[in-house]
Amino acid sequence: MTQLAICTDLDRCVGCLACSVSCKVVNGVPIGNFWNKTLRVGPTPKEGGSGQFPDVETYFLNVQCQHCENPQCVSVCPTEASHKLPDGTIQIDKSKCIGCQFCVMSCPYGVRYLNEEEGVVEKCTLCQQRTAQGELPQCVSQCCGMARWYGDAEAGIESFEGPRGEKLGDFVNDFTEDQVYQLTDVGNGPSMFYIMRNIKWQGVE
Amino acid sequence: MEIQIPLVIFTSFLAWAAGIFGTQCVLALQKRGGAAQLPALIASVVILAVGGIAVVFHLTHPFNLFNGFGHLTSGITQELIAIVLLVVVMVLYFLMLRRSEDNTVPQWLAVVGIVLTLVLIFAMGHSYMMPSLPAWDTVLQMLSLLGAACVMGPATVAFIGALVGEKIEGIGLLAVIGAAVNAVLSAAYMFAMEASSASFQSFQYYFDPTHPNAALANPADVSLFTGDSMTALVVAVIALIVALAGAFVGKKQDSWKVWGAVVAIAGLVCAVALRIMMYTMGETLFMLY
Repeated sequence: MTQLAICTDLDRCVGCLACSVSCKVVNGVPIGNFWNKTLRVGPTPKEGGSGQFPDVETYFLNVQCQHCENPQCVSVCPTEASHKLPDGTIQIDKSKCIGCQFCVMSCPYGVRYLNEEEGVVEKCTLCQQRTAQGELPQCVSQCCGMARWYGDAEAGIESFEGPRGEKLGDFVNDFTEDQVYQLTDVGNGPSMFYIMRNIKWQGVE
Repeated sequence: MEIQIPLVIFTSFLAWAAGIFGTQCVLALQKRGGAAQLPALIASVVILAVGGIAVVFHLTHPFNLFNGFGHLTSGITQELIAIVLLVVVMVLYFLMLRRSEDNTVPQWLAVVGIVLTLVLIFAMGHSYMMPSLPAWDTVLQMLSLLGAACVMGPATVAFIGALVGEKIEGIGLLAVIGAAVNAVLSAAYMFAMEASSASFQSFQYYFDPTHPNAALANPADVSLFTGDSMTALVVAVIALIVALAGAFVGKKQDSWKVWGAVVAIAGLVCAVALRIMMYTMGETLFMLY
């Protein structure tokens, strides 16, 4: 089994939006649609602090299709336009998409968009056009903070590859298992990982 | 979420059609309905067709309807199968009615009709049960469609009976029970929707650079008592009370030409308002994106 995924070290992310912008450029994402967004979470008052600066904490969260293990978007698709590939990624066959948008409704993260010009739903493909040629997803290769890493989750996130060829396990600061987070799971099993060491993760995993 | 008018019409009208056909099947079990059976069946088919045509306009192109439905885990495919089966039974029902000299159909066909109307209602409700949307992901959402069928079905059949001059024994009681069931199930679903806001993810302060001027998404704002939801809530509550009162008055006066229409229209208004609430309350669990 393979589950291609991206792991983001949020302690390295500086919120430069290079991932979001490069995604739009390389994939021709229509204006108003975003296959990859960088949100600023915070400033959140630290527990036990004054509630004022400097007792606050902030992190940047990159959100995109989580290429779930048990994707609801695939289950609800009436034409199997949304499908899961053997590499674990969720892809959309545009020739089959009827634009019913049930996949948009079923996605817990709201990362699917209707391309109004083409009348089909689109989302992050994990840059399939690039990874098929041995390259990294554009958001990973353009990450100037060396925060984004790409690889097979089944092999462990330490084996994920960065833009300069290093491995995550050899490059980033040490982290423990409980410092690896995923977005809220409502039975869909998100596959993307986020590492954050000393800041409180907001929301429910 | 943006209100999807075609889907609102589709679900409301299909519940209406299922309600009418289900009611006439219940009457057929007791060999009642008489001259009202055939016009009720025609009304049911026409309303089903209106709902079916409406849903086509939800697709980005109407011809996408022919784009290879068939993924069985999809609620849309399940709905389509249920509709096709129901139409087949309706055709059989029509043929049996035409063959019959006393406007009756075989009991087995009536039972199959009742089962398929329930299958259609539950398939339709189930297709909207998504863990991503807390306001939708409840059995009460599915049951609210059953409530809509229960209020609109008997009232419409009673109205048709009055129009064709057929006195249908027991239709008044059915209309009152239907309106009461709708009132209870609709109210229960409205409570469930209001309670669903507890499931949303709260991130306190955040900033989305792609929407710099948008207000922070706040789970507390996802309430039936705000904005468009409030309007739909008031309309739904008034409509379900009117339907209930109309059914009582209709039964008391045994006059369905007016009250049957009043109850059916109030039931439809209640169903539409409830579906509109589904969309105004239809925020995804992860509200930030």
